[in-house]
Amino acid sequence: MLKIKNLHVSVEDKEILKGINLNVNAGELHAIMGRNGSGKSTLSQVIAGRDSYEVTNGEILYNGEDIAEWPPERRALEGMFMSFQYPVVIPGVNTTYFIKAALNSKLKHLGKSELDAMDFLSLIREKLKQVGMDEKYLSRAVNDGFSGGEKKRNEILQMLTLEPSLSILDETDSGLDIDALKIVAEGVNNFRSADRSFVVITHYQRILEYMDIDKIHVLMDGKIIRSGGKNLAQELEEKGYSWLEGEPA
Amino acid sequence: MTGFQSEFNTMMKRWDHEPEALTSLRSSSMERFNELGLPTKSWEEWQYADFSKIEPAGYRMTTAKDLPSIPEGTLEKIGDAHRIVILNGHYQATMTDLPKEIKIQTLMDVFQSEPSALQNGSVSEANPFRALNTAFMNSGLSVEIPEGIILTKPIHLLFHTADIDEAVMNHPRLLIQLGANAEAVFIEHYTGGTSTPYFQNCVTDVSLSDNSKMDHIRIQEEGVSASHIASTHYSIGANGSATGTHFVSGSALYRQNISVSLNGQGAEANVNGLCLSDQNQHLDHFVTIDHKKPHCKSGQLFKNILSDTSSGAFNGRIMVRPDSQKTDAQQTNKNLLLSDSALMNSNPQLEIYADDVKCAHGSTSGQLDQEAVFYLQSRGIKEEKAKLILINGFAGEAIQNVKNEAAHTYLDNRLNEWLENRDTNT
Repeated sequence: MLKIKNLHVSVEDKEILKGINLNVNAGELHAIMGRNGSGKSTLSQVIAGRDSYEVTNGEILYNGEDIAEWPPERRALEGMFMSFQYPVVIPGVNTTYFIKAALNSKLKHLGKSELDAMDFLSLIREKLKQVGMDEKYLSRAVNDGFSGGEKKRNEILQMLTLEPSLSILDETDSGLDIDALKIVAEGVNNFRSADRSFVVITHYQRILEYMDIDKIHVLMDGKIIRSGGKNLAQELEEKGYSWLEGEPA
Repeated sequence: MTGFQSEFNTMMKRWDHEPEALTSLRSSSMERFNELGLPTKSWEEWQYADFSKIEPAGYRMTTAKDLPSIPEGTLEKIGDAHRIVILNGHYQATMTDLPKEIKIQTLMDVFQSEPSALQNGSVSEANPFRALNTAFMNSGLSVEIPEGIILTKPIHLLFHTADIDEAVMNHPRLLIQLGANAEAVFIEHYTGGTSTPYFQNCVTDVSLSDNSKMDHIRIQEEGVSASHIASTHYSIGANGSATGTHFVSGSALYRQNISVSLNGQGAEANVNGLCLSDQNQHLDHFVTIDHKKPHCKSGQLFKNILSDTSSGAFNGRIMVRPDSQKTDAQQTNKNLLLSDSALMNSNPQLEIYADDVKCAHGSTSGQLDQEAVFYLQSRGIKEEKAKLILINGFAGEAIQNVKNEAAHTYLDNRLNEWLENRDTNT
């Protein structure tokens, strides 16, 4: 589903990603772990299509297609989703309006009929339950006055509503208390299927305890220096990232 | 002799039937205007606007000859409202429909029954445009909602200018009075159906008695070459409440001085403004809120959205007098620049002489938040649409106090039409 080949990315002439290779098959859940500044968020932003990052070499293939020229909205319409590390506050834009516009944009792209207000409301109510969010958030401006945890739940709410094939969760666990973390992990677990893939980007192994992971990659200084199974997270937790320093990529 | 003085002399000859006291008020106001002159760049409170083109334009007063023939259906309607129509400066009694409990008077009636209502704007007047209005006031109307009357339908005052081929001017003078416990919604609406330059110099004085409540929606959609100068004063008694929303998209030059006087304990005023400017428009608000008594509350939210080479200014002053304890005053000015060539000046001021008060102000000006554009795009919304949603959301806050549904829809539609004509790819 997602294939990244020798990806080099720069921001303002500074190279952040220095040759990333990653292969996520349909149905798999991969975790990318790394310290702050290792390039984790750059990787997620580049996959989502943020234009302030320059791809200097390599390619990102989604279902076999090179997406370099795809604007962010096309990536989303084709089934990609990123849960933001820092969800953006949008004063004056109502949450219901925003999610409905996003969903209808996607339905239109798929050649399906758009949802009216009533149908949308019954759909979103059901999704709200799954992430343990109160309905009152729907009438507020997007992320305006939301706590850190509420913002992250709102991201998962959007994921569940838009039903992407590939979800990149960028530090969705940071800022969450243990109950919220379980709800988010459960939301992801229930959403998993043979044709959906996930990349969970995180600093801590905590969230990984609640998920069934296929592969873990350790990102350091813009390169994946180690890949392995679930026990790699445990090892990192015990020994810290410095354990892998000096590891050849 | 200045252009205004010469036009004044012509008008006074034509209006020789007016009572002596009114003639003398006009003359003293004209003298006051001549003393003051039009504001220049060196007048601190007026520095951002250029008024130098007003007088040389040689505006003349409209006369009965200037009355356009406008089929009734072409005038703007806003929902189901009582409508008062003023065409090219002339009150149209036949197009006006008001319930009988509302008292409407022309300027002449007002002057004869209560001359003091028009006195301000005379010798001590510091605002030259108010002095000029008092000298020339023509389309004058007084609307009074008596004590205890709660109007269910809004009053829509429509000032329409059209079918003119010469530079004309009008000086509308509106007096709006609400008796104790009265409630009403007023839509003061200026529309222009001409690209010929004209000058609209308005004074609106609103007086709210104790416990009365008014929602004032002022919409300025003058013709593209018009100059629209206005002065709106809200005087609010104890526990009275005024909500003002000033929506502006018209005219080449707009300057509005809004002043609020909170005269009784528990009085409240919320004044918001939204200016949409393009090309070379200059849209300018100067707001003064005077907390004269304790336990009063005021809120201001003013926004300008500027594109092309347009410019704008916001100057907001909150004055809290020494005895006005427990004052709650908030002021926010936010501006969105859609073009690198647009220019906004913002100058919030607080003058606080009481110590137990809650006052806050803030001002921001900037371009569209690219992070937010990306966020919407990443959810499958096209860049153009994402920008429209964001601008709409930004603007929407400034008109959210408009509770009348028809008026709110009208403003929403106007906003969307304006946005559709924008190139947001800057």
